Amino acid sequence: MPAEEMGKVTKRLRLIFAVSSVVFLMVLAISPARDYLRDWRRYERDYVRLTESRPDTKRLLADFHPAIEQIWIPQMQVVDRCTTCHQGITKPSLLDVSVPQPFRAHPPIPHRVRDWGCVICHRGQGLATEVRDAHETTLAWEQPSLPVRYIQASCGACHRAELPHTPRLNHGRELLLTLNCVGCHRLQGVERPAMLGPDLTNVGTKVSRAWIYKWLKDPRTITASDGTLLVNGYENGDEPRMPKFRLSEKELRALSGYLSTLASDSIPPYKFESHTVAAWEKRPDLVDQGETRFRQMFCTTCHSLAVTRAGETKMIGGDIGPELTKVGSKVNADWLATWLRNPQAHLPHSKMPRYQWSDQDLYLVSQYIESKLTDPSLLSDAPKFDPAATDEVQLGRRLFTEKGCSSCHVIKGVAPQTDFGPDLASLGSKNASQLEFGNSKIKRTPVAYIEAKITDPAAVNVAARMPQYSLAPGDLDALTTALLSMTGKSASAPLEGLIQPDGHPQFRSAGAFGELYERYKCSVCHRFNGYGGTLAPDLTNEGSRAQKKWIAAFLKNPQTLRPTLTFRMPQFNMTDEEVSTLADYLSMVMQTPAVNPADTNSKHYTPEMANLGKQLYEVKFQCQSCHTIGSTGGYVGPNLTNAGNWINPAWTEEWLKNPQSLVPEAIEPHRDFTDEERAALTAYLMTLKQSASAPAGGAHGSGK
Amino acid sequence: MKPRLSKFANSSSGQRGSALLRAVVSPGFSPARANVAPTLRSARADLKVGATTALLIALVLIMAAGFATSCRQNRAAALPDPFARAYDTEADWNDAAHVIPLNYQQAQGKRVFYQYCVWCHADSTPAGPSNRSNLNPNPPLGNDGATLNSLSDDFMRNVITMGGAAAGKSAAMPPWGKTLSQDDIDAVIAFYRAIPQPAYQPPARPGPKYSVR
Repeated sequence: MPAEEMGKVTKRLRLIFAVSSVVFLMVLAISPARDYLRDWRRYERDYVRLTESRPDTKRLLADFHPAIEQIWIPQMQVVDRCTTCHQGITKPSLLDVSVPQPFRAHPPIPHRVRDWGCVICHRGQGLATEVRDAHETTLAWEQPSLPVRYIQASCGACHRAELPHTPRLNHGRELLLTLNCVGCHRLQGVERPAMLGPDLTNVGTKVSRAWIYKWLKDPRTITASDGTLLVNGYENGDEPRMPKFRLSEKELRALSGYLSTLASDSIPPYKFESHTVAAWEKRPDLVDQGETRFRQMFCTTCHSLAVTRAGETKMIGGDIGPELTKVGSKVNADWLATWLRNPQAHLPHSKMPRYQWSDQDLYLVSQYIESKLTDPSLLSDAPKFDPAATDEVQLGRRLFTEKGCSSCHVIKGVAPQTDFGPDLASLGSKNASQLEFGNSKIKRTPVAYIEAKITDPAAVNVAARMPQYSLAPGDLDALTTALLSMTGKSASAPLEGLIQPDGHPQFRSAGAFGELYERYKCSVCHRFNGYGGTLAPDLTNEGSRAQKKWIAAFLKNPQTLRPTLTFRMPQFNMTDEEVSTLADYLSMVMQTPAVNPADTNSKHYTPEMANLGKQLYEVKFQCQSCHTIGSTGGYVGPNLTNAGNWINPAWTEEWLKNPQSLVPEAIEPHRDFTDEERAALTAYLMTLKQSASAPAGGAHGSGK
Repeated sequence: MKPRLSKFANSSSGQRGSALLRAVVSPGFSPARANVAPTLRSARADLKVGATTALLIALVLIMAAGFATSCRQNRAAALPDPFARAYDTEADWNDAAHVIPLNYQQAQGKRVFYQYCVWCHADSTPAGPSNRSNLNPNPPLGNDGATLNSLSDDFMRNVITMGGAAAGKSAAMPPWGKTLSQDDIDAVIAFYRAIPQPAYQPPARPGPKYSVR
């Protein structure tokens, strides 16, 4: 090779060498520059700068290290580097909203943030050191951080028992139960009840085909334009449990036709005694008397009614039973009388007590319902039906299972369905790619999927079998929270202690008390050993609290002790024998060891002590601001006019020591009484006696 | 909150882009000239070098721009909706359409309030009528900003813990110190600060104003 060429090649080589060394140096430079510019490093520098402008710089920088910080919780398979950027997370002085994120302190919660890290609650990618990777969906990590609106879902992932701190989650879990989601779906921690909706075996004897048609078409009857839920034309905050199915006219006709023919196991109509009917039939005050009985029996403790007073229509009553404003136009008169006499003969799991009806009361109340609680135009927009044709009945029978009706309703002879819908036990930990978005325009995140699915199932999948629920915005948030809490993970060993099984075993009793307890459905409203309703007082310790005579008198004629309460105990018309059985059992069995009657010998209460107690009651402690005696006092606590005949003195003394030790949710403040004060107050209360003839309690509050 | 957050994000990423430019250009550029210049004589070669340097500068600029944009992408968008961050909500007592977002502590206060306080410090209660009109003097409503906003947190804490009589107020207000925990009492004060009309303004804070940079 000539030297000339050689030189050229050398030159070129030199040039290439020069260029490549420049590129090499540049590449070398990129790496440290990039490292210097990492998100977390910048945030750490910003944090140092922030602390310099604060008065407590030293304290804020006490445990600061310019490096990636990591919280590792192997038991929960969590690696959490969030505190690398969120440096101020445990610094109380940075709690103020004016502190810029990511440095603001976490509001105080029952968990120590430094021990638990962030992603256990907030989700997202704990390993990430880039802002976007940590909070959003990336190719490698499909669980973005949870909107704070649903954060209580993370509490529920570990704490299966109800927590007082998580109102939204608790509400959502309650909705999952009351809306019968377990009818079609499998849910974590929610057991399938024996039967969900009404038994339809004899529905043909209860309602007309036109009513079924109208109900299936829209169980809500009317939804106002502003989205307020209206049942039978009246506003009602409670969602009917039956959702709306998307049914064609043909399907509606077939299903209503099929259901209206069902009467295979019907109960023969009840025949009123002829002298009752003869005595009352023609009387002008028949319906008024019926209404009086209806009110006296406190049906509205469980059922709501639209009542118009002074031109204003309001819903009045409880939500344990169905709304009754127009029930007279819904159910057949024959069916109504047999239902009132014995609800459990129609529906074994019905919560309605079996009242002791006299023939006359039953006649009056059923006449009142059939003539006053009606609306002649209720079914006016339903088509006129001929008796159902055979092919309609055939189609209806098929639709009953195809549409999933048999997941919630029982018809004798039709096999019930289970797991009709998808298993949702691990919905909360699903990735977006595991959910079927189809062609919908929904944002591809699990949270958006759940929101869309329960708002409008057809928006996600036009062919969805899931019916349409109409939920208030608060209910939507609550349900989404409860569903997100179902991560399907079983507790790892160290955390098992947290996951307590929810609820208490059912309270059952054998013998005569057990029979009455079942008959009058005590546990629908009252709580026994942690099991039962919360509408009425917990009776677990009733024997320690109340005197037996008082219990018996109360059962005969329930008078409320709390005049502000809208809901009163119904009068069951119990026989004397039933009353003494219940009073005996309650006073003997339902006791707490914390109250020992032998501790208080009622004889040592002297009139002087009672006088001192009266002064303490009225002046020093001002008990009258919450309790009523006679006609003066407040409405918060129970009426004490008859306390001497009602409460056991031993209970009173123990109660005054610490009310919450006997009833944890008691409102009465725990105060510092001396022993003398306690005895004096008890002595005074024991002198408060009312003669049996005078009415007990205030006459307030028969309605809202 | 939103403008503050986004301003913070934008300004920092802009600055970051220029810092990057400085960092990458200076080490890459000067050694290149030092190595290449002595070996080249002809104008053609000069042209070549010029072209190469131009190419390099362009490359560096493109990379810098790439970095800057990728950095901008990395900024998390500010959260738009205050309710997305609300732990719970409470409707304004005077105007149900106005919903107030509550943080965790205020939400705990709401729970305590509706269990213990609502009976005398509200006009409607979960059980229906209220005990408030029954008391003399009438207790202030929970959202009575005109009365409660001027009371310091310490005073409220004392009245709740030790009762009205201990603070020179009505003895009808019982002491709650043994029923409620300190956290509960702080939470219920936070709730009283969240709901009043007119809205509560925290007292001016002592000490220097802080800022990020």
